[in-house]
Amino acid sequence: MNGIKLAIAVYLTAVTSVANSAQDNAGGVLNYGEYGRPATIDPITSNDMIAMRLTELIFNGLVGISEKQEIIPELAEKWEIDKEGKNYTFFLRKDVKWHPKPGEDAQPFTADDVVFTFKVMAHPKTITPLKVRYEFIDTVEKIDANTVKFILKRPILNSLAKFTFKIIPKHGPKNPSYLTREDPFAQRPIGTGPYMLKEINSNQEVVLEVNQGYFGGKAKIQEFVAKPFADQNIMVQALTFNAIDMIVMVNPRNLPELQGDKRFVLQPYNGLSYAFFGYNIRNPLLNDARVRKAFTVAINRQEMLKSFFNGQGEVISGPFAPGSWAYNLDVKPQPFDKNKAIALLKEAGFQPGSDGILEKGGKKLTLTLKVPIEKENEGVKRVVLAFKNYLKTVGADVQVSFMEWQAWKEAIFGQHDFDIIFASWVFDDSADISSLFHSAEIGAWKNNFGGYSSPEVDGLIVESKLTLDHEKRRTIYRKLHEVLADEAPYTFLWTLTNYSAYHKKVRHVAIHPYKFFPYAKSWFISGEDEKI
Amino acid sequence: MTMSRIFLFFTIYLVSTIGHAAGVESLTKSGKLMEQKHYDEAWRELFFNLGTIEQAKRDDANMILGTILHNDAALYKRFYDDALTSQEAYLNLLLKDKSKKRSKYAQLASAALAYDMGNCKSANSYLKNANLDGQNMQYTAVKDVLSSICLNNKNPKVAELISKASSNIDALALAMKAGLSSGQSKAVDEHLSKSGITTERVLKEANALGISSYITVLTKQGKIEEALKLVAQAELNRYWLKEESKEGRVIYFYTPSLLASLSDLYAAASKHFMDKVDKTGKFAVNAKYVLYERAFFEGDYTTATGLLSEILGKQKLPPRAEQRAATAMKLMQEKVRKGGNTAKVASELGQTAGDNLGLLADISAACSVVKDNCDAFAKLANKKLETLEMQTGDKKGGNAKTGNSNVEPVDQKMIKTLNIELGKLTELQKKYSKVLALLESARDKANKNKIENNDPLMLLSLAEAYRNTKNFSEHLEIYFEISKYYPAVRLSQDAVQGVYSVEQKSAGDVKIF
Repeated sequence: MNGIKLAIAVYLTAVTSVANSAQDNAGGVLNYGEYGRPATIDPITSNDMIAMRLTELIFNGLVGISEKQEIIPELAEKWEIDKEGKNYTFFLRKDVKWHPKPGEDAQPFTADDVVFTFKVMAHPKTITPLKVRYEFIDTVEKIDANTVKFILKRPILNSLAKFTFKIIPKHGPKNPSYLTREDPFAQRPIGTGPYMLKEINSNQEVVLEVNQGYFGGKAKIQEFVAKPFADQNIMVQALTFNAIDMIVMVNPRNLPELQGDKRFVLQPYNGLSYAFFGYNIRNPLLNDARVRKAFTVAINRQEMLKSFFNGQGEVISGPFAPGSWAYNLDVKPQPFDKNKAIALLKEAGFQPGSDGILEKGGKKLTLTLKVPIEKENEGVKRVVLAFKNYLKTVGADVQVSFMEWQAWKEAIFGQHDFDIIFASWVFDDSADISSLFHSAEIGAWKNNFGGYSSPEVDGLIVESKLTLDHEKRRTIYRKLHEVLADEAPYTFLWTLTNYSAYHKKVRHVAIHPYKFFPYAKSWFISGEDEKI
Repeated sequence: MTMSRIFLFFTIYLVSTIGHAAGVESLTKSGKLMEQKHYDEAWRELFFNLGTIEQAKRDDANMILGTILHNDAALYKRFYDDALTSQEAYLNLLLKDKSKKRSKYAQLASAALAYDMGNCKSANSYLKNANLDGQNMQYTAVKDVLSSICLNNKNPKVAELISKASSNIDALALAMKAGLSSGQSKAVDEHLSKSGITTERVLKEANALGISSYITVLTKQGKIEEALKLVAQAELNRYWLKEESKEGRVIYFYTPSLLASLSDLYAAASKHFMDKVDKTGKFAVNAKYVLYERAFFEGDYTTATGLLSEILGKQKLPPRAEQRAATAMKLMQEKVRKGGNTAKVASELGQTAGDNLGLLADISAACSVVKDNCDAFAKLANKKLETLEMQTGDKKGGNAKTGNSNVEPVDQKMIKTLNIELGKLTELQKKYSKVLALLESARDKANKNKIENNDPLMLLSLAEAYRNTKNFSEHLEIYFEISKYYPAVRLSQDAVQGVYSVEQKSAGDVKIF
């Protein structure tokens, strides 16, 4: 039955796709597979990769990053930095217009929008992970309609790159002071970017159309359509049936199949991501680091990686991906050691109850593990089941619960209603873990969802922000890696092989390892190959 | 550069037919490890169990050990070449800092690197600026020895160097190495006994520079087995300088010379064990082939052509090995000929290749080894490759472009080999985007960084191409995997991490998924 459903789903998507291409303009339509739908599509309240990829097409920053990893002008045509490195003056382009709101003319982009964006990000009622990233900015002032000045609290490393944050229009959000996830703008944003939001259709597909008046020149592809797939196997089938043209991230298990199919290009990109089990430290049972460390050594990560992902990745020892400059190569992953796990739990005061489950102070070591349903693919199911079974052997009872993506985010980030989660983080290459582990980031919709607090870690994070010495920052990050590996607020699991797959008809594809789409303006679909 | 993959297969085959004689487990295990490209582990397994192998199987053991070490030498040579460029990039970044808080040891490390690269003029310039304030005897001793070597144009008196080195083991070993390099072996022998340097002391006291230098000393003295024992016990991912500032900053400095000394040792050890193979026995051809390839890699074309002329056309070689050797022979002969033009010969050979993809791959490989871009040939081979890939069908045998399933199937394995060899050749021209396209086509995507599934030299070429296009994380991922089996590459990892931390231009974003 399931097989029939799958085939019908793929067939219907294929039919829709063919129908779409028939009525397209010369630029063509690029349908790409995503592993879910975004909660919001604005660059301030969103905190997932799906939305981030879309906002990259819809919005611009003051500056951007070229394929050669150089800072380039975007909304600002030039800038000046004072000798102290504290005053940044940006001279804005005068030829930029916002995407038009329905029934309205397009409005010009001005300095007011830049000031507005910063004030919205900094507003206490705006729920955004960006706040901690931009705490180094003291004030922003409008010099004139096309000039803004940012005054920093202190000089920082790689400062110019920070101004890649996306600018939103002052006339965009309903609320003139702050932005919430409920604001209509979060669902129907307008930006200045090469693509405009056309619609979110009944299949939850996000359709973007080309911005004819883009200041950087019209993009080549007419439409980008983000198609959500709950099951990654179906996503791969959709690609092989030509129902979609691209997959942003291929499930490692599907790599051999796609590598053998010469219609497609497999392109590696390193998103610096890793999977983890994250603990809710608010639960007294998990507040003791020995318990968390016991869980880490109770599971055989190497074996899990090998069995469930064909060994296509690396087991990690701490809060950075092995491809990051911040990874401490001296900290090795703790090996699987069931006896050590049992000893640690005993040391933490747990004793077996009559049913074999450990107890402490009359409380059973029974914990809920919440997993987003988008991760309900075969590999993930096996991982969480294996985790449950491994922990059972040391006396912990884990109840697994799969939840719809939005409900999961609400439970984890909004309500903190969980004991353990299984998820993955993706970092840009600044390897900034401050929002994950600093105690100031504990709170609703903040990234320190587990409520982890350590004065030592807080101190190191602050020190890393204050230094202007790259080598000192490396030293601090090595130390952070070491401390967090020992404190185990997460059980750090692995980083998986990261490949995008796309049909060969899509040309000139350059992928940013984190943002994915910054160079999509230059992509095109080969007319000749389109006839295949 | 390429490896004797054909002989790898041959040796594995031999290992599988060995039977159950005494010590055979080691032969089988080391053969398996070699197949997985875990060469370090492979030679250790066999070398330390040589005594358990019965006399009748000693030839097999020497042959396998020599082949493993031959491959290991080629790998370490590549590690070394890449480490030089990554170290230089990292040290240049440190040297850019002119503030009061700048690194104190960057100048000395740069001097040592320049010396390694054979540039004493640069080394002298760095040494003049190396202000160590006499705060650390170890560093002062190394600085003084390096100064003496370079001020005397690499021809210092050993006694003077020993005196400068004082009792510091790193500096002493460096002094001995310099003495041997300038042909003062007698003087070195005399001082070696007086200085009290022993393997035990080196293992206990020396940092990477001392270990590296002492390995070279033992190698040059022909104490190959003693050197191998030292390497097996040494901590190969160790730094040679650690700089801690008052502000809590720690910088580690590593030395690429360690990789060079290991490569040289393994090359010498390969010859050492190959020389023990009975030249009239069943492995005579194999041993000569490996010895030829070693000489070829080392640029000793006279020896290489001499050895090949004993084999080619006279003794039976596997067809692929025969073709590869014959191709190399033609290029080497041209290389040593006065006024010779290897590029022209490569091009002419390429014209005759037709659909022989193996020949195209062999010409590419030979051009890489003789360090000739072979432009005209490369153009021809690339065109051929493009045509073939267009003709290549999908996994079901159909044609990607036309949907025609009646197209003659193309040898995918050979296309992969040609992609690899052309990618390595393109590297000489520093056309890194093209290198990436060629090598990524050949990479086993499902086992992206695994050396068991990918030619490690191909992975290293990929890593270099990614580093040169500022995709540092891809480079680091490849090295992360390689470092599990070859910990001495730590220096490249550390250097690239250092460059990446400065070069990265990101806002500090993180997302859940």
